[in-house]
Amino acid sequence: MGRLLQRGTAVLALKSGDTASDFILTTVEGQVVSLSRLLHTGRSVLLVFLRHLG
Amino acid sequence: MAQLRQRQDDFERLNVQVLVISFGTEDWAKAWLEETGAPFPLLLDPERRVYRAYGLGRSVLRVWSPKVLWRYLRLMMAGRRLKPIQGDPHQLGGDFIVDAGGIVRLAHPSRDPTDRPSVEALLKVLCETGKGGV
Repeated sequence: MGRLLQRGTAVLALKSGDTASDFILTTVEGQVVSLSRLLHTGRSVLLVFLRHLG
Repeated sequence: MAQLRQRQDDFERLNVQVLVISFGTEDWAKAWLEETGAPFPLLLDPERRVYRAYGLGRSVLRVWSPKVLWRYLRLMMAGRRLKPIQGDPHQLGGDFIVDAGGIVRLAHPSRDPTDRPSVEALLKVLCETGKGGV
């Protein structure tokens, strides 16, 4: 996808082969989830980013 | 999401953790969980930092294509209740598979709401990912 310009900020689209960006987010239930910690247990991860509608 | 839920056992068998990420508010997220019955953790990213880190920006021109409008019209005709607009309808979504080594194995930003990989396609990549294949 290459480089996308979003309001003057360059957003690099991640693609296959890239290193995934690590993150720490909280679930609706208040549980803290760290991607790197999860991967460390040997699991693969499927990330489903929701859109707004449907 | 219904498709993903149906294949929950397959994800577990393949030792895959499914994470759903939303930029909505906590209330919106809870309502979504209740409506979809999604059995996966739902992470909140209201500032969309992670969305951006994965290259998911906003697309005003592409969201309301004829194909997309037709899809929503069909849903409405089928009586499906659509959630009220809250926040940003132009934010793109997407599906990503990350292997245990932290490498992206599939990156599928959603160009429009009808553009998502099938669950079969996802499982195929996950199967290969688990075997350590390319």
